[in-house]
Amino acid sequence: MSLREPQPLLSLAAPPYGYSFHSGVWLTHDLSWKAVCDLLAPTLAGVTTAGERRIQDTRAAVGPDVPGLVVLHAGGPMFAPEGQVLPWVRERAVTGRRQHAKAAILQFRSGHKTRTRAIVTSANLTEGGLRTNWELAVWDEHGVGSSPFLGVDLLSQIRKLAKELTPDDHLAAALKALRGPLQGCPPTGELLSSLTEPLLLFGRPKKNEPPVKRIVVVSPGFAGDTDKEAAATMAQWCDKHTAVDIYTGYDGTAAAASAGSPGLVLSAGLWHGLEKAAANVTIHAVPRFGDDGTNARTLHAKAYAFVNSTGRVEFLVGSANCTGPGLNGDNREMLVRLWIGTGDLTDLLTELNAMEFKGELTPPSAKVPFSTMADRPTVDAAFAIAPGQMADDTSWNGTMTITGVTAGITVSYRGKPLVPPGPLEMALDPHVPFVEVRVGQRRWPIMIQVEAPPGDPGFWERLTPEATLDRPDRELEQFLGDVRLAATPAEQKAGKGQTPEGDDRFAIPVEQRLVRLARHRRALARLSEPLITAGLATLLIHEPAEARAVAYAIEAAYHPGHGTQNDPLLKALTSSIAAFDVRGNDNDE
Amino acid sequence: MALDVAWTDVMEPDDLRTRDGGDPLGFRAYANRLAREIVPGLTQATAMTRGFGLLCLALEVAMSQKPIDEPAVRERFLRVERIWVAAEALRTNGEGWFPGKRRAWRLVKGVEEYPVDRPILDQQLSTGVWGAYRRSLAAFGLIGGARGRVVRLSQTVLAPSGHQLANTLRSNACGGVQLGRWADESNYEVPVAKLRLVDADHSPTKEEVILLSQGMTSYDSRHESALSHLRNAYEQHNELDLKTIDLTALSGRQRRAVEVARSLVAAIEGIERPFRDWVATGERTQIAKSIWSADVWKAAKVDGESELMHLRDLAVDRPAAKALDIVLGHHRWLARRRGAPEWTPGDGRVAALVVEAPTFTLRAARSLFAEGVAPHVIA
Repeated sequence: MSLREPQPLLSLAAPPYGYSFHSGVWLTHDLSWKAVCDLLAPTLAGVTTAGERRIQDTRAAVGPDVPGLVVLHAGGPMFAPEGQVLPWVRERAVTGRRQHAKAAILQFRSGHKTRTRAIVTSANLTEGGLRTNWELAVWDEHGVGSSPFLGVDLLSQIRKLAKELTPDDHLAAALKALRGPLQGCPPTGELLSSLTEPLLLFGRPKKNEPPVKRIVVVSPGFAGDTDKEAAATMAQWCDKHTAVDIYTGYDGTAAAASAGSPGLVLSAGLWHGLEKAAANVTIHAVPRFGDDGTNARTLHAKAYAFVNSTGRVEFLVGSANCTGPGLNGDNREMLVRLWIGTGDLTDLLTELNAMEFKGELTPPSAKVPFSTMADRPTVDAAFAIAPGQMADDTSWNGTMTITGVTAGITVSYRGKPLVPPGPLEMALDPHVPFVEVRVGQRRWPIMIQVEAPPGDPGFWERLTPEATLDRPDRELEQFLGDVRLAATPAEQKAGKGQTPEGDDRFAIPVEQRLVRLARHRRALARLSEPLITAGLATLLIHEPAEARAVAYAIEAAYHPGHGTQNDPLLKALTSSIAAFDVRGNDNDE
Repeated sequence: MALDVAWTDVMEPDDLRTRDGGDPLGFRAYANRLAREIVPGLTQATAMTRGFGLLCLALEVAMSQKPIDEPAVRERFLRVERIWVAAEALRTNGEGWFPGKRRAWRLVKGVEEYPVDRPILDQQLSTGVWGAYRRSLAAFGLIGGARGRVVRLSQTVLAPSGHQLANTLRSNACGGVQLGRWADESNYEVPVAKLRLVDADHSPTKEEVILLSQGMTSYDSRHESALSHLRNAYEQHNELDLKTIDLTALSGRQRRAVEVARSLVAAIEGIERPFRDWVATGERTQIAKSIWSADVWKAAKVDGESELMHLRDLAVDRPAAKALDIVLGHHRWLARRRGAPEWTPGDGRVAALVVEAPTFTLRAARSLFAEGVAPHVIA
């Protein structure tokens, strides 16, 4: 075991140098599809572009011939489907006991070589989980050889889980691909899991096993106020000489925590239960904010350390909160067991910058607990994009096929009912990647499986010409949008709110924006003349008259006599670009 | 099985952070790694024996008064540092040696009372003596509890040798000034007359040098005697220079790192300099094709330096005429990964004009050796 420097969770999802993502399964409780689109998928795919180009490059980065990623999550209110179409990532809600485990097994390939990475963590697939929270992660990687590998333990659990679920081709393909290179590789035996069976994660003390010297708990204060089960679980290892330290989040600054101001949420059941069992219970506050009120980091990690009399520490890290359902097997959970020294434990705890909390505890809010997820209808939605379109079009025409709809089930897309059976010709918005399935008052979002046009494997890489020529800048696209807007009659603009909040493009003078556009001439200059001609020709077919004028203006500024001199917009644009070249002359033309 | 465990770190959003860093192509990250192998235990900022002593002294003063809570200890520590730097500025008319000397000089010049509650650096704790010296002090066993990424001053303890170093500096240089009194949080000003009593010179006494050498020797015995080897190399010519250092005086690990470092410097000269020129002036100069077969690339591959390998893999089989464009592409790729600003040929930015070859911490080691610090694990 190595204690490593803190690192962004996403750095564990990045492909090794020279490798590409091939297949994987990710377990999470909360799932934000937007976080998958913006953060996880680009990282897995090695995409580094920003802006609107990012999702387009991400879609194209993993081909349709590989299994891709399957995300297994708790579903229900924990699933936020807003995001974008992402053809190589699929989601699947796990029904039955609450799916609370957070783990991933990811395979990367380089030719015939594979590398598999296993991660067990406390982090959900949400922006907070991936970017800002205090989380813990344990990971292991396998290339070649037959050393014990955490991924084998993990894969075995996920395969058992898959048997509980209704058959899923994508999950089966991912599991098959993951299993191949690991055959003959033994498990570590260090994964404690209630993923498929409601097991007590800590087990029970062995006969004549002495009480431990110290227990350290790191957990958010999620236990209900009357929850005594977690305390009872840990009490089995305690006697009156055992010290218990609880590290939990504090909703305030370090100064406020030091002063004992309210803000530390902890279950009275847990607190009193441990006090009864242990000699001394100390609560440590992990402030959410820096002293200046900034840098919010929420403690979401879950870890348990049992320090025995010899100073050896059994350290458990993973998904299980210090709650009854977390520890007694009601939930589907995973923890990894590590053996560390007390020095490592001290180093880990020091990072939290925690302080002893002596103020009044804030009771948890009364929540309606749920421990099982109801079955959802096995409805699937697939959309086949029709030929002749571009990957970055603002909508795609194609055919939607809905399967699994029975009596009492309705399916809608953007509020409009879809009436199966039979394929439906419709337009799909890439920003709305899900349909809504309804049974009575209950509703479920289900992601649409979007497929490239038949026989067109390069579809996701093909963008509209100006995006291809202009990448990765967004300025031309924004400018074209503004020109369109300017050309729209006032009565049609009313109530549209076209300017996104925070977008500063209207603060930039038009002339300056043209200067920037002229700089794109450099990008054009590097391309061959036939390609430019072809690109412009396509642009002229697909784009409205205003865009045509801009394209001609850029071209005409450098090749006078291109024609269309009667167009006032074109004349204005052309002269602006020429004026820039005379005055600024800082481009390489 | 090789399980790793770590806290997750905050990931900044993909926006324009100002991580320009003077490292447009990723060479400096490798240079820092090599520096840790050539001069373990020291950093580029640990160039003065007095820096080690000042940290110990400030910590001793900060911990000798109540209350012992983090904000109070931190404030007392920072005030001792300000007193020293202001005294140094007075002695040298603002020249000085420690960071913060310019602001301290502005605050102390022409007044009778020095406002000790005013910071002399932005983020003084991390950019001042604490940030520069604490890791090395911990490595040399003079303080404890300061190795982690987040270190609380109030939980840092001076080892007996650290106390000795603090006391030596106090008795030799503090002129009887009661630092504890003036560093107290309730005090806002220090009479300039008191500051003039502090003998804030950069030259250490023999006792300070001996105490630091002892700590360094103890560390060195666990690190292949790397610093002792360097000291021996220094004694040959009173110099420590990457180009001329005697490889036979070094450990095997150091020798390999120095050889790679030399090749890395050549790569910086051959690749980064033409690229910087192009950005600064818009003028293109050719990158020699032979540079892509230098030893540094083999070493980078072995060391898993993926950013450098990205550049080399892009460029190695391409015509020399295309190399500069490929380097630009690599720079943009790297800038996006890091969230740093992208450079554009001809944009004339000042950062592109500043080219400084990495020193691999040899300059800091040479400075300490010149002051007399001498770890001697080996003969």
